[in-house]
Amino acid sequence: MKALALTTRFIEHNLQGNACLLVYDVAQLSGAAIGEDVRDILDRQPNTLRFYVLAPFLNHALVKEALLQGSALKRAGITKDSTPVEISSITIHKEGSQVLIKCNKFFLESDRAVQSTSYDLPPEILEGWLFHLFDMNSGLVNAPIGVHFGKLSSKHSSKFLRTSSVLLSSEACGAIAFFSLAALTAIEPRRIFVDTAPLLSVAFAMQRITQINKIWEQMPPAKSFSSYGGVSNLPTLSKSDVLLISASTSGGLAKRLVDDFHVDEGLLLTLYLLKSSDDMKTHGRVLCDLTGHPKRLFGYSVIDNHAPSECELCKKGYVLAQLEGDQFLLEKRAVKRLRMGAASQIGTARADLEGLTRTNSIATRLYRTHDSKTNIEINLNEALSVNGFLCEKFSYLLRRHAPSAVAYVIAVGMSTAEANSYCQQAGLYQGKYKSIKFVSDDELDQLKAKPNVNALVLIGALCDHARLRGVNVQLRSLVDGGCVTYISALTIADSARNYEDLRIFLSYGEHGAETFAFRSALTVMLPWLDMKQQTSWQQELALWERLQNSATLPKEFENRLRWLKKTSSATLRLFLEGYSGELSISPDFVLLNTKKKIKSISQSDVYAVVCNALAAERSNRTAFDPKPIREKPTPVWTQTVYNQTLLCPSNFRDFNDAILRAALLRSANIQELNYTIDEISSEEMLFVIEADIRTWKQGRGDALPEFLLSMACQRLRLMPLHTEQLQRAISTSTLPSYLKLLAKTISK
Amino acid sequence: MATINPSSPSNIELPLGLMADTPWLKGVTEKTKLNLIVPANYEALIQNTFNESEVLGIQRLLTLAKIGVEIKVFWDENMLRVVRRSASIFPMLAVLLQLNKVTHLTSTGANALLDITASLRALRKNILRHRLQRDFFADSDILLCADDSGEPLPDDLYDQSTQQLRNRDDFETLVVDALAAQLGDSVSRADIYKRANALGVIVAELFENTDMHGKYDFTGRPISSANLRGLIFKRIKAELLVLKRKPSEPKTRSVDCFEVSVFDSGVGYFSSYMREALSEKIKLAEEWQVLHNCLGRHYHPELIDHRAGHRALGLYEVLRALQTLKGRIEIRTGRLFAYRTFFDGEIQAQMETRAEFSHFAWPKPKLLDVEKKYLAQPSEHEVLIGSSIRIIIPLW
Repeated sequence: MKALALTTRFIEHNLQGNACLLVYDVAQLSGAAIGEDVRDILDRQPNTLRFYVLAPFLNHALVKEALLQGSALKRAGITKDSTPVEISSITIHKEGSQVLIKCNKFFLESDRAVQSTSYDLPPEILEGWLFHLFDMNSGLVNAPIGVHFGKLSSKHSSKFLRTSSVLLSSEACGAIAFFSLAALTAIEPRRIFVDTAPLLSVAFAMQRITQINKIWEQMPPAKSFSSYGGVSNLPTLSKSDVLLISASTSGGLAKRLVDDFHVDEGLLLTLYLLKSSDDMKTHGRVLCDLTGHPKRLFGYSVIDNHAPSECELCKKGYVLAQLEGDQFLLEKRAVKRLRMGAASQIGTARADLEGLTRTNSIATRLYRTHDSKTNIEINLNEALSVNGFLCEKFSYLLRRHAPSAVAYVIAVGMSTAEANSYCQQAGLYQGKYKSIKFVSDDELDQLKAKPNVNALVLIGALCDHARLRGVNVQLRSLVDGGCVTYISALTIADSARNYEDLRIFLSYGEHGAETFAFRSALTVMLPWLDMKQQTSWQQELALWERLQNSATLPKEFENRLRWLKKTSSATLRLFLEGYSGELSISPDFVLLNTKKKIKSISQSDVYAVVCNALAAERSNRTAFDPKPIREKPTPVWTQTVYNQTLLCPSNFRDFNDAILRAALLRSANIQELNYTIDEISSEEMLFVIEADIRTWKQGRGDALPEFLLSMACQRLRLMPLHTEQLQRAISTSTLPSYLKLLAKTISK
Repeated sequence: MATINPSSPSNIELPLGLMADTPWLKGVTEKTKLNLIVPANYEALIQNTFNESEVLGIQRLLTLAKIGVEIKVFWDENMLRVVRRSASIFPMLAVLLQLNKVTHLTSTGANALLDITASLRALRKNILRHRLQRDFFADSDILLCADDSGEPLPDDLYDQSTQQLRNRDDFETLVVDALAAQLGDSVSRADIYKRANALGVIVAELFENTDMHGKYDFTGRPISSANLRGLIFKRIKAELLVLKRKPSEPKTRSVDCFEVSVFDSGVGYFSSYMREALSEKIKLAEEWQVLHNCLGRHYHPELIDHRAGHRALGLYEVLRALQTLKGRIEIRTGRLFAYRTFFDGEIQAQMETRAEFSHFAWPKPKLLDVEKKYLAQPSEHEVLIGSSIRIIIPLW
């Protein structure tokens, strides 16, 4: 058999027999091939009275020619009136606002093949074929005894429909796409969305068919959105988008797409539906209803879907196999616990941060701007001043690595006057300043190219690596053949790998590694901001504004709102006040030496130190030096399909320093604080917060406002049961009313 | 309604009172008191206003609010009833309703006025929660972001879970639906998608600009009072010259156009770019240069760009997209009012020399001054806050 043969029973007046669809995807369709397939079918199923030939990816003229010139009609012995057997080809075309499918009958007239009139394809025959396709490929999966399925619709059942089992050949995809086109409203779609990736093959087939039959002018792009799990990630849907759902037993997904995304029901198609009750309805259109009923010659019995709380199979102790799309999710995502402590300060981090802190040089930017990679701003004026802690090393690097003579000094992240003064401070280029041009990196495109001259690039605090890469690219042509040295006072990178990538990019050239020199007086690891998330202060501002909009804001929060509105970056007041006022560093703080000028350590210093420790932990404590080994697998302290990283509750339990806890809550990303996925961690966090509630009046629960704020902003999330328990504990406590109000705003 | 003299400078009849020239705006201070009148025939007045820009009227309104002018709004009771049903189809009124420190009054008969400000609270919320009408049944529709209102940002523009701007494809989708609703089956879908693709990119760029530069001042603090940003879709008619007309035919033809406007009440292009306030000391030419630099990076390389991650609109790209759409763009910010047109029959100034074998010339990345028409030199207008951009494309 060259064709995919699909068969169903039909009843027409007194005639009952099989209707067989022959689907071809061949480069050349020959009449002989159709003839042989008709012969084979008649041998196996002599009661086949109707043959339908479909070549979805060929022009109909070729099918017609194969039937007129081939042997199929003769083999079936089809003459105009003498036989009940019929052979028809199936065509598709656009007529006005409709895509129509027509059957074109062929018969023999005086031994000559002739095409007769066309007629509509009976829908029951079409559904019968599609049922056969589904059934022969075991699309209905039955759970073995002792197991049942948990579907993404949250329903439990002993059966589920797997359409991907059907889409095993281009013939099958072509047939489904062909009939789907006629089931949809006939407008040219802008995009096609499918609920599971295997349906992309149907979308591709649609594109081929519509091109060949001139139904669409363009080929719309197709995307899979991963069924229920991916609905929330769908883009804004248009009334011109086609949505294909592989299979449904409850109609839940279609309902959500129509109700929440306002999808046009004429462009929403469920390929296979097996009803969970006889009177079940689904939104949009259905290509094939698999449900049997007394008037049908095919079909499955209705499916039993159970709500999880009333699942009979769960009560019997059957194991639940969770589904993801149409695949089994055999394992729950593993939880990795991110721990932080003094050991997180890798390499020279501790000493470097000891140097930067206490000088009021570190400020925290409250709101994410489009041009900043991190929200920690480091002002190097003091560190680079004559007695500053970076001055000596920066000057040494200049003396050690700067080219002996340069034509250009390029200032990045500092003024040209500052660059000039640092060169003089280091004793470079005495008496040659008139011949050196000091420019900022914005002015590079105004310089004339000078081959074989040298350049020195002086960088202040470097965070935007792309900016320096841009300078590097421009200099390669500006001073072609010359020596270029990059000296940075401070380089910030979120991992050793990121820093190494920059170093290699800047230093690699025509003479291999170290063609150019790149040195940094200080390198600090700080995490990059997640550009898809607001900072904790942005979320806090939105929360106070929301509360103010719905009720009168307590004065504690009103003051805070006022402060947030008038502040862009700050060194103090970053965190909500505790029982004893502003949170400040305590003598047992682990990440900084508290015996030295403890009062000069600002909240922003603590925040930066905690951010640094978190960045180190996220990159598996790989220090800037020694060099990271590229062959090593990338550390997986991030969120993946297989595991979720949580900030270990022990960080909060073991370090009872309120300012450290507050900084952790502000610097962790939302996923790291999502304890809803792990009951044990959630409970541990509950205990930590409950302890703060109990000890509030003794002044030992000063991080409580930050905990509650984090929960109210939906950064820190506990399991609903634990959130309820926490809210109960707060409502019966003697906490001040503003904290009780904050607790009430936490959603479960 | 109480008798109010509309000819008095303190009495402004909407919408045209703010859409036409407003030379009086220069003299406005926080001590100024203004009466805005919403007349019964507002709907008729706002229709087909091609020559007057509604978004410019909105920008003037926002400027008045920012200055701190005491505003009283006198609503015709019938018009108020219409607005209460669906305020978002009247963009200027929707903005007016969002302004703080504005008193709304309406007549209760017998020349008595009733203060209805408090009763409009629910309506204000509804405006902020509005979603674009996908069938575009009205002639205009607005999405409004009030960043400090405590209300979520509009679902059509911002992801509700993260409150981050939606991606570009979603903006294109909004344009597709609006164009498809407008054009129906009169043109092929492929043609609609092609236009929507070009226009969608521009709309996304423009709105992204308001998200980046319209929420915080140049020091990075949130702009709090009367901070509004918005996106407006409108259907208007324009009189365009007929090309290759026969002597018997009229010189112009009325063409259905699609208007997209974006506005914000931020610090404006100059302050955002230079990180300093726009003052009288700043030369107009410098402001003009900065505007061009904002729209296309390094147009004037002598200006140092303080914004490392600056993502310019790409004036060249926008103009080329507009050229293919045969559209028009108007930009109003600070003291500047710039435009560029590619309408059929209008003189195409500031074009590159047409290359050999090329069917048409590409535009130079320069804007023209609205008053000086074909010159790329600025003329001074009254200072307005933030920015407003209006794009008009003919639909066939």
